[in-house]
Amino acid sequence: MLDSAEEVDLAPDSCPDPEAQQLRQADRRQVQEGLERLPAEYREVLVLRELEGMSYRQIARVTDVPVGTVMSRLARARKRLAAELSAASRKEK
Amino acid sequence: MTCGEIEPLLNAYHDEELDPSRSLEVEGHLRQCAGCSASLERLKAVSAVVAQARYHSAPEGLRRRLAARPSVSRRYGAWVALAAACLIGVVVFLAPWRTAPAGVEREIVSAHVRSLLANHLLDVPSSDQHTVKPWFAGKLDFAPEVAAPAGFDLLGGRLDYIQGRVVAALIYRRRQHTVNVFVWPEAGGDESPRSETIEGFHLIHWALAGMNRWAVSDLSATELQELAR
Repeated sequence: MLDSAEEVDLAPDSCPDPEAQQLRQADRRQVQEGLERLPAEYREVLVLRELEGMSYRQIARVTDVPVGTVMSRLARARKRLAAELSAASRKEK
Repeated sequence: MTCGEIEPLLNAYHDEELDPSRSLEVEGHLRQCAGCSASLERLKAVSAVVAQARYHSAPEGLRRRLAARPSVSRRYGAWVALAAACLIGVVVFLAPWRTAPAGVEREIVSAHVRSLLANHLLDVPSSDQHTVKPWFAGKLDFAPEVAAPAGFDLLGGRLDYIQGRVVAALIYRRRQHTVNVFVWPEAGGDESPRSETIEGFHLIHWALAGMNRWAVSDLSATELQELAR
């Protein structure tokens, strides 16, 4: 049990993903601009999850959509924001 | 599991919203798959930068701008009000979990919700306490007392996993409400019933004759108390 937990923790450090590293460089302004460019329902789900720390069930209740929709929206929202941030960092280079 | 099957689960895994068995499957795949591990790293990176934005700037600014957008306030009017409440609400909401010594309350609620979600409420469906009790023999290293309290219908029993050990779960119904009672032996004296509320679920904990008992349900706390008599 312990062994497997350690392996999981070690895995990400041993092979850093360049795209993930680049995403982590994004500054506050880029993140806010990225968020603003997202469709409202994507921005909403991201804010509720990442800033308010809500569970999928709580988000589903607040936004009045099924949990499955919360899940798929959040996945698309993160993908879109990652794309926005990558584009922003390319433009500024 | 293939990458195609993992991909839709990755966000839920990252948000710790998967049930334990799915989580283990995803972890197993991640250990072998650099591609999916990299996708997870990107998710973590996005979460980190979004969360960081809060530390540097007051989220009120973002909220004001969100609220100012007609499309947002029209369709999600309730959200704007809720967002402000959530700042306080989430903290208050989570406080009992944070102070719980071993998070056992949270495990109890999770096990209860899982039993209702995963269509795995009963291992032994029987309203007869003399069928349910012998069923546990050989599966557990203790013999849980199967009570049939007045006002509750016994639906049956199930094995569950709490605090790193296999425990007995007794399932009761009162009107449309399902009640899980988790039982496992624990050294220590009797404890009188104490109630708690987590995520809208009521929990009652008591200990009797060396057995730790937790009842959990969406039933009112007063009604749930009757189980602990």
